[in-house]
Amino acid sequence: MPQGSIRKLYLIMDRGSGYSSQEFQEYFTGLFPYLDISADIYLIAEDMARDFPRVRETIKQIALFLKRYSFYRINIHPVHPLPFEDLLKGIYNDFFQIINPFNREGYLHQSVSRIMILPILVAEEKDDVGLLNRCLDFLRDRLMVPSIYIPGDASTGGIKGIVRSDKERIYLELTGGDKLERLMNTLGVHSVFDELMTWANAPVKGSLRGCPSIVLREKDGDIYNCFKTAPSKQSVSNLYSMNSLSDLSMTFETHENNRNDCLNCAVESLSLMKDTLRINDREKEAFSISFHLGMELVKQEDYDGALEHFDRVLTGHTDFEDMGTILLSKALCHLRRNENEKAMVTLEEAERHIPSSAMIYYYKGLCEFGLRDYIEAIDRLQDALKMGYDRLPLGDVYFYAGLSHINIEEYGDGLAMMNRAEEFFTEKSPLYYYMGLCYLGMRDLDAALDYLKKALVCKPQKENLSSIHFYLGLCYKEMGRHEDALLDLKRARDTEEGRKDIHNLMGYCYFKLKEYDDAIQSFMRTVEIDPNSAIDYANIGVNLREKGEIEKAIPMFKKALGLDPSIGFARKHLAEIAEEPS
Amino acid sequence: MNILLIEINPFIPPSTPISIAYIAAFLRWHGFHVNIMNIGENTPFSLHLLSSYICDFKPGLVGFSTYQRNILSVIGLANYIKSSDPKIKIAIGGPQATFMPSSALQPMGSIDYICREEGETALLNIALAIRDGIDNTVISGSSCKCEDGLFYDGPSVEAYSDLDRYPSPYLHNDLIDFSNLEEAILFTSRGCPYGCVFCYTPNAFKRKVRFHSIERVIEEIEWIYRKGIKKFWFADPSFSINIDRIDRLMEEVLRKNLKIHIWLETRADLVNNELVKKMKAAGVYLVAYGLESASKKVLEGLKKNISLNDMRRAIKLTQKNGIDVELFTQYGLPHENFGDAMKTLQFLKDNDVKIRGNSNSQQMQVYFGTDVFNSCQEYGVRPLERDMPAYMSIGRQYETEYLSSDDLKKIRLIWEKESLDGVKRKVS
Repeated sequence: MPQGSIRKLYLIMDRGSGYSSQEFQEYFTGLFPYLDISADIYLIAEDMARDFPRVRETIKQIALFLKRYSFYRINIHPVHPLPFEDLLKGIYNDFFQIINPFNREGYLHQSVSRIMILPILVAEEKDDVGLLNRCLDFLRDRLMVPSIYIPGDASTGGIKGIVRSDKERIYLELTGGDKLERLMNTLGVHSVFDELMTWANAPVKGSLRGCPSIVLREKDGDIYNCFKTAPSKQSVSNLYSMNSLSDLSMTFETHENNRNDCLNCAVESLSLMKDTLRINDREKEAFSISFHLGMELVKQEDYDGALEHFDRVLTGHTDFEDMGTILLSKALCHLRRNENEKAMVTLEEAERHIPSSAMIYYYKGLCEFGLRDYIEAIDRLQDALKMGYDRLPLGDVYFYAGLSHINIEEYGDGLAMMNRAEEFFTEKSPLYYYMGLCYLGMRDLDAALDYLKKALVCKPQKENLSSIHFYLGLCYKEMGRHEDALLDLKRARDTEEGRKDIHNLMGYCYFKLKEYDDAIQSFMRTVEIDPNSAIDYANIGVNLREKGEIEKAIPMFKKALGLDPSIGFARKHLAEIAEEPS
Repeated sequence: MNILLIEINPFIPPSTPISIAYIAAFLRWHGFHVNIMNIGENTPFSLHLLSSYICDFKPGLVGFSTYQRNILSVIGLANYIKSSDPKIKIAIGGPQATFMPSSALQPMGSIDYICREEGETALLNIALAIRDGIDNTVISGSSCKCEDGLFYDGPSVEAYSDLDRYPSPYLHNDLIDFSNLEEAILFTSRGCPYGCVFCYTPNAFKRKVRFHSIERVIEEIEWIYRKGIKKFWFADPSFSINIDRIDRLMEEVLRKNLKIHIWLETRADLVNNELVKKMKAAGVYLVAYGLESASKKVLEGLKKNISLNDMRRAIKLTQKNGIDVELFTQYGLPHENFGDAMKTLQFLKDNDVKIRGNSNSQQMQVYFGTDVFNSCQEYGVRPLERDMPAYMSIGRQYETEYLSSDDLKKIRLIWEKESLDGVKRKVS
């Protein structure tokens, strides 16, 4: 079953000399089955006096369609400059005659009319407020909810307060381009904003979808699936040249799947709408949207963008009802950006709004962990567990508590926490790795080997491979199994060649196996990686001395002592060499 | 045979289509292939999508959940489906259909059957008759138009007294898509023994109450909980009609450590402190009580058999236990005057009940099957429109002996002004 339907259709009534009006209507009505059962159609006309017959015919066609299919409801928005008062009255009296049977039907069915005319009048500089008011009242009396569009060059003086309900809107022109394009773009931004608002108010929020709208130019029949692509002439289809209308459905679906900047467009609409919301007394809506957009950006790991939205709410709407949640999410953004101090300050503020919140204590635990105060981290995470909350990510809480214990070498407690975390994790490799470290710390080398091997089997992330092999090598080394150790250490080295500790441990194992050349080569690599590693110069010296290359060993010991005079065994070797008969 | 069940409510977000899901589960159990189409506000849906669906699924029978508010959509969809394949039979059921006059089949055009009894059994009989090629005869539990052009009402069918005999709409089924739903709707019982004159339930269920076992309810809760849904909406008309049974249900929720949030509605005289305490512990965050009117005279006339003192006591003990309270109220009730209507508003304020959600009042809707509809003159209700289509009940288009249309509008505006949430009712 094909998905999707056209929820908003913008018809730019810019007919040139091409197809006749009748031809256009024939093709246009073919689009109707693809309209959503609750659709909005915008009829954008530059000059209503000239375009009236075509606008009227279009409304008539829509009414005929609705008469046939009583599960459809369509809002029609004629968008046009304000004509002479008498002309406007004549035009809308005519429209009223077309829709009046639907008003009667609505009354009998105790429902709103299935066809609504919601005009958007473009007020130009010459139009005085008195005229506007008379026209709006005339429309209201005929159950047509009017809105006003203010072009960029017109004054907004006296406009505020002209609309009487939240259904009546004032549209401030938002973008550039020619006259029709400006209209189109402004309506498009409003539409994106409305979709954003619907999404923000929905109890269950999926991902933010693209606006299900299309733009159709009467002049050439070009169809655009995004109002932003209309000015750049990137049409997705053409009304006149399609083989069949089912092609249209396929085309929309293909393009629907290719939308990738809808979230950016939504974000942009919010900032473009700033003045419009102010003049419509709808600023609070913007804060609510910023809140939900911020949350969506957190999900997409765009923490910079999320912080921008959260800060907008926190500075602009100090009595926002979800203040606690917003501060908590802001703290999470700071945490993810490793701004632990900022996160902590935000959490303290959040706590004033939602005291005794397990989530706050969980995040505080993460902050302390990030600040390497592991004892505090353990305390905060324990607090979170004591408070209890069904959405607390228990696995993560136990995991970070375990890591904190490991970091202060409380391996028994660390192991206990990792054991508790195990039931919550599907990817168990990191858990087994840290459990292996705990056993290693507790000197239970067999158990450590078991867990580190399990960590290897459970498909670890590539970046963790070298550490697992390294600690396996360390276990073998502690068991005196230097050849086995070298097998794992080589694997560790092959995965992450630039790690000094791997080469150092390899050098040690080669030394124990009396393979001094290989040992020297390993320690040489460590000092290449870290030229200030005094101990490794000393290690090179020891191996050279074992090989009998005393002359080469002496400068190595001296170099080591030069870097770190506290290396006792380098001094001892030098002293022994000095005492040896030459 | 394929059966398509459609729930369409274009003015509200999609919710769990629980009633048709029960029917679908029952019909599947009897070997039919059943799909549900749930269309709410913002559900993408077009003529083209409908046409493709019908063409692919090829239903032999299409059933609709019918309410006063969606009847135009139902008729429109039915007409289209019938025009696309005249062999497809169409049935309507639900609160608007049960007591709709059979003559309404005429203006509704494409509708073949009106279900009169419990949806499961009525629709099963229709489905069996179509499958067996005997659908032109009178069918038990429904009304139809026969070949002679006349309307016939079939004999009654007995509904199951043990609700567990109906297969669960949730368990072992993929009938309900939870991806866009915030909460699950459950029934633990059906029917109501009381006789409120404005309500359709007493006559539809013959004042009998039937129950699911606690085991079945808990099994459903656990299944839904595992799907990640934590909010539960119990839609029983009087949830605690059997206090011991509900005590056991709450006990089980606690024993199984299910961290859920529950909304329920019940009567003010069906709760006690012990039960409310347990409800709170089990996750009940809101209890809705049916007050209807705070005028003693009006309330008595509604035959609800409840006192304002019962109501005050229940509100107090619910709030005391930390559970929010909603009160269902109406205006435009029989024998109510303007002052009576204002008493109801004042009652909410006096009892610290916030005017939001379902505590936003609404005008009484006079539906088919209610005592007020059946004897509207006796209740002082005067319908405003005589040319209403036969499938429409009086609804809210009436005046009363004491309240004119202007009065009713005035009362509505007063309530709207007091509303804290711009009148966002969930239950109508």
